Amino acid sequence: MADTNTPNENSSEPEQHFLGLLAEFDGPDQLVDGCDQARRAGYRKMDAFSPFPVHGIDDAIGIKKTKLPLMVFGVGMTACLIGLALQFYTNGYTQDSPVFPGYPFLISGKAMFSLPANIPVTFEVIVLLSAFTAFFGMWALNGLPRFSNPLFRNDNFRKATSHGFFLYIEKGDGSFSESSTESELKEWGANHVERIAAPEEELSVPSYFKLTGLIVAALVLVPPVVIFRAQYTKNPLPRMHVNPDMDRQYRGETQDESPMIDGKPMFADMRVMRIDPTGTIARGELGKLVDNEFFHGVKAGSPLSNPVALVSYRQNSNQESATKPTEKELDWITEFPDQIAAKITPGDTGTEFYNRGKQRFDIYCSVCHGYAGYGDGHVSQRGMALNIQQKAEWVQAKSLYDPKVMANPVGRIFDTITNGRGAMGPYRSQITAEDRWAIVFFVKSMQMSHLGEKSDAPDERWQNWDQVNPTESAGGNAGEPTDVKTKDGQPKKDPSKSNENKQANQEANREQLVLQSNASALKD
Amino acid sequence: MATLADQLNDNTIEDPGTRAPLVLGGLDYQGITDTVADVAYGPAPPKAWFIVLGVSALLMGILFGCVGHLIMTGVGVWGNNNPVFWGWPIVNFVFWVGIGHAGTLISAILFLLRQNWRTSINRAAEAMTIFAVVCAGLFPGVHIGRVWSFYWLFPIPTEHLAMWPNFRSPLLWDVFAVSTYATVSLLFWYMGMVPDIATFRDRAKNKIQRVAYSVLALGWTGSARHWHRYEMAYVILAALATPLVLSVHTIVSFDFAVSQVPGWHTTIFPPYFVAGAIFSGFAMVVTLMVPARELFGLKNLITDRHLENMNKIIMATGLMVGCAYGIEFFIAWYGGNPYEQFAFINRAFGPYYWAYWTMVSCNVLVPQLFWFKFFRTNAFAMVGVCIFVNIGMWFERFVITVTSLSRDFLPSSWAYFTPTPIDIMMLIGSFGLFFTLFTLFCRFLPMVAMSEVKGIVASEHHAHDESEEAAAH
Repeated sequence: MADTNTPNENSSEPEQHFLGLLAEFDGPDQLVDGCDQARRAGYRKMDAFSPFPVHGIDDAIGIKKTKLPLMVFGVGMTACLIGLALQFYTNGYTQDSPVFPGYPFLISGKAMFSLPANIPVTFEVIVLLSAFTAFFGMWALNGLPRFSNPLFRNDNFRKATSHGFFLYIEKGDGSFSESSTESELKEWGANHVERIAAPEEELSVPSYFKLTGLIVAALVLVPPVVIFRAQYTKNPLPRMHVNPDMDRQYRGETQDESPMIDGKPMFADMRVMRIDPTGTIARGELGKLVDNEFFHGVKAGSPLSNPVALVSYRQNSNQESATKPTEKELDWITEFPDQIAAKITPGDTGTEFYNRGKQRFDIYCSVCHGYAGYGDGHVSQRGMALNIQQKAEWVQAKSLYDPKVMANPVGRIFDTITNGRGAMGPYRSQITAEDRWAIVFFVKSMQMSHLGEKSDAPDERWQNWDQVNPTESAGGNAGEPTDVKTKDGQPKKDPSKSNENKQANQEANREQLVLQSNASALKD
Repeated sequence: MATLADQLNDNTIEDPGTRAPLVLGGLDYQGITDTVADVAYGPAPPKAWFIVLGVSALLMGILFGCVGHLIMTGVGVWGNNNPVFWGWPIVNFVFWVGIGHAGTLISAILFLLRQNWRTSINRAAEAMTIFAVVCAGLFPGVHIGRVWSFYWLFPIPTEHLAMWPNFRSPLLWDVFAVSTYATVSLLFWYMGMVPDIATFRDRAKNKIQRVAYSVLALGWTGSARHWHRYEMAYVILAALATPLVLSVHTIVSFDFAVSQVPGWHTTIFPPYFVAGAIFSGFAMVVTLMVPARELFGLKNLITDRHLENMNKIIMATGLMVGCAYGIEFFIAWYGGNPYEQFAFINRAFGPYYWAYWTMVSCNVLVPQLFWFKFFRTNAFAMVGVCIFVNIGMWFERFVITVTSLSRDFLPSSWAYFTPTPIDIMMLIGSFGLFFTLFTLFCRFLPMVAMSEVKGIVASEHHAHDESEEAAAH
């Protein structure tokens, strides 16, 4: 053991450090046989080597079943919890957390954490971590990688990965004897036995390896240090991008010259700021330029109704707070503006304009005011029901046959639709001005039908309509009839005297009859 | 009646009395090693190998050029546009992922089913899986636009982003499924290869080979204790890879099926996609194996019987795919959903009718040739059929993706999809990448799982000896 003067030994010299005996067998069956006999003879520190797993060798050598499956099972179960916890924390955990808080995605009002949607990722995490365990666990249990192995010094041993079958018995085995083991092996079927030796001196890593390793280790430390430093310092410069194309965009400042794209100006007139197209009207300037009658329902020159936000700022609450205390009455128009008057055929309820108004009314107004305008739309009914349970403070929608409403001039009704009034919100962004006028026309037609007499009806069937719906009495809502005139000045103050208006009333009555007797929604 | 001698020459002859040999030419253990190792250590590879490598590398160069152009310019270089935002990139992605499935099927599922004939072809098929997944991963990888932010796909805690991925999105499931699949396939492939790399290490002729193969072989000796744990790990990985491979294409199909686009929102998608994946994958294996065994003299290991078995699987899965096409139409009619009905009528008779009927002819009609033994055993015939199958399977993904998207719920946005030259070059280039990797693999890594084939030969000898003994008694 003391002899250290042979740093470069070669295999032909006598071994410095004898390790064991390597016996070669003819085939897999002989190998199994040999191993079996060696085990019976009491050998334990031995191993067989073959180019493929030999059937029956485990029992012959006495290899215990590996723990690998249990390891994989344990990791697989843990991975299931890890996968679920990962998803629960990142997507399902809505509480604020000091570090890396979760980020709940609310999708279609579904639960934040729903197991079925989390199965795929959980499954993949299980498979991934189990596969890592099986792969790395196998190498770790096998003690691999191990590049320095005394067996590799034996040239004959190279056959072990091609067609050689070997049994190796270590010197350290209790039954090992330098004199008898070799002959025993030959007896058990080995055709060739060799001694395996290791060099006396431990193989050492060359010094340049250490130097290179140090340099590499130092270099590897650089990126984490740079990242760490960046994390805890402030830098006023913009973030660096791999591809900075979005940092340099063709864009000009106000009052600047046009940017050049490939040598050509972006705008031929070299101005960054564009000129408005001809006829552009600034927002909010419309009323000053166009007629107040059509767009605001007031006479020319009159002050305008206060512009209201697009969404009503008024909460639907009880009557007192909802009613504006200072409602200033403007100079409302009492006749339809010119553009609208041109579309109205006096007394004819079947026109396109009338139908349009009815259709828009059914869509936008009937939900609260009811199809027939009694303020009993479904939303209103529901609100009133909630009032009784004291779950809401709903203001019932106005009946259109309320004396006050009946007295309103067309301009004021138009303004109500446009800007809202009381608890009602504005509809100017949903309904165009012309359609709002159509609704006004339809509302006025319905109101007029209330002024008619039974005798106005053309036949008995219509004269007895109130028996179909006894709760409503025709013409029961007393009140000043509204002054409805067309622009050509023909008065319609007394509808009973006008054939056209009679007809209009009858039409409207019939509408109501149908509506009242048929609770379901009208089809247009 | 067929004799053993007949079977030694032609193992496609079926004889119920004897088991057809899986290795021909009477190769022993050393013979198997020599046959496989000669590919790497023999004389210079045939000219055809250099030609294939050269052409493939050229195409791969085009692919990388396109990718560079895409990254510097943006995804607008593709033909994807309203309403077909998922154009060729996802078609290519699904196509390549599908190709990969055959490798895992052969290595894991056929292993669990004790199909011993898999041993000659599993290594190359697994390699094909890895390379196909590389090609597949490329497309979603570059389509995210800002490629350097790819790590946003993963649940990595970052303070500047301050958010996590949405774990209920099928696209995120896809990230997990495909990355897990690539990782596990790689581990499985490499682990299976270590004993064979050790064989190469022990036959190394120069220092570079010895160092390279020594490092890759991890010091493998063939110890019985090592084999014991190795086999256990192999079974476990096979058992893990089996549900994994089925889950991957299922989840890929969820990208479509979980959305609500008519023609996509169907429950048949997962099995239909998996069958299609195996179908196209096996066709690709046959396409690769036939020339490879010819060029590298592996005909005794990759025998006609192996190819015939694969062709039978191609025909079976082709029939499944054809059945799925029919069921889709049946459900569209039986389900009574007018949008679904429109989507399918539009598929077959709309502006993309040519793609649909290409798909049906290639995937359903052409594989019927495999009913005839001539087509199952003739090299040229089977490669011809398999190329048709691959064309058809690419068109299947095209039909599914593009016909449904181009006719979405908003008729005013309906449009006809046209690919750009970049689209076309990237598809062709991805084949370049695939074949480059595969040609290099053939030359430098053990193309046949030698240790497994030897194990099969040994067990065949064993069975043979036992049956002889039984006959003697």
